[in-house]
Amino acid sequence: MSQNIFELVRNLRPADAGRVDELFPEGRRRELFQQIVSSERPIAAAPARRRLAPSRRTRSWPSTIRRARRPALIWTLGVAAVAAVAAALLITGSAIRPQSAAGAVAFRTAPNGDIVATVTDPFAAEGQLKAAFAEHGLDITVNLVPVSPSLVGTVVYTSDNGGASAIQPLHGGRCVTGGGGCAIGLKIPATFTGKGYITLGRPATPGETYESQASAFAPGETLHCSRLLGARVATALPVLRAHNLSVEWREDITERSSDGSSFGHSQTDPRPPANNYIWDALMTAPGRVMIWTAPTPWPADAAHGAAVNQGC
Amino acid sequence: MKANGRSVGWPGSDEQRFERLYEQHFNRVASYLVARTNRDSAAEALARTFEIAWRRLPDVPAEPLGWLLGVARRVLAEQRRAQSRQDALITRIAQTATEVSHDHAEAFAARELVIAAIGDLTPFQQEALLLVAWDGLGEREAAAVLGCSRGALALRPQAARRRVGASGPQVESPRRCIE
Repeated sequence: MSQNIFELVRNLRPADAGRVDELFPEGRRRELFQQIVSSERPIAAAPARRRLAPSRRTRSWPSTIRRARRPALIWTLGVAAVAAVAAALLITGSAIRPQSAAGAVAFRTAPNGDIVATVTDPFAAEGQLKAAFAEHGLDITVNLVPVSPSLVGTVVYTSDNGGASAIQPLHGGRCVTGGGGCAIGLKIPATFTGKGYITLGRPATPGETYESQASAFAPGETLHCSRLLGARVATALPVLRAHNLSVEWREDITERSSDGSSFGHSQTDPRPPANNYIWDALMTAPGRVMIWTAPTPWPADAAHGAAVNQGC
Repeated sequence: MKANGRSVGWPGSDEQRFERLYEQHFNRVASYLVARTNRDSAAEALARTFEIAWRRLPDVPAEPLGWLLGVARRVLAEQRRAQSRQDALITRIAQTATEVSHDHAEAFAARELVIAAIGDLTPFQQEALLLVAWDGLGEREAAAVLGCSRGALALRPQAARRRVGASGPQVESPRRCIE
């Protein structure tokens, strides 16, 4: 099979996907827009709500627009506690510390009625963390996975069967991630009765690969303040050797299909040209880094650059 | 951060900001959903996606497409779980192939091969492939949709290519991503 894989798959795309202007004409779009903005306000806004008068409700869009604001259980990680525990773990190399359920999670009621649950020891045994939630009537399974250093103690995975993503991540941590935001806690509706699945980041043990990682240039990561983002490969080589890093080089490529569309992806590049520029880097395991290069200069992203160079 | 009902750093009121987001990205989100499910389910998921965007407007990043598609993906996943439709994507693709290829036997056979290969991929592998092939996203944007690191995502199209192009080595396990 000699055809470009992306072109093969593109040819399978249902035709309807290219006809959304017909499927959702202007009138329907405005109708949905008005339904939405007339409903519950953005979460950080004042609580006053306007409701649609019953006679204005329509049936052309599903009546999924929420009206009620329920008290929420907000679960956060004690950041100072995480830093202290993470530092201790890095020194001792211990990944799990048995602890009673009562000491693993602390619950309190916030002034606005929300319930805040703080995990005081995110590296307690997974069973202890599950038991802590169970004591408060929550069926939450907690899993710990190895992550790059700046993501230790953060939330890397959430799922639930409560419908409509009942469990929401709470951002506010200092890690810099490609997906946007740094989830250091969770908001779980107080009325949640389903099953939840939470994955937290922990330090990797020798031989493990990271299951989630931040940019290698981000605060807390191996190449933070190295100034290699946007630098040429030739400039980077001695720095990488000084860090004793094993490197997998990758190049970004764009493939074009017969219909003129293009597909961007990357592939391994064992010997990148010395004049190529570094566009991105991720630690894949302790001592191992994956670096993307391209022949064109890195398009300086002020926001991203500022984020990864904090404290430099 | 709010001041007098306006998000500091974002011009206009919440409604104005949401209106811009809605108008600029409605088609991309709609195309994403219509490609993956039937029209009624797509309409429901579309409404739910933008409702979430409205409620969580302060969390929406300045470049919102990846965030929006990530929300749409989760909404779709919940729909499928609720309706116990684990093979909905493959069914949708197969129906489309049947509709257009009856009179081109060779092309039809090739499509069937590719469909079968896609069916062998994990959901994450399928989605990584489709975000590039169907939705025109780059690797970084696709990683944002999946909540993966770009490193984890970089391995997925390779795995899919091996599956489709040859009877080669087994596909490696996908890395965990934020659902």
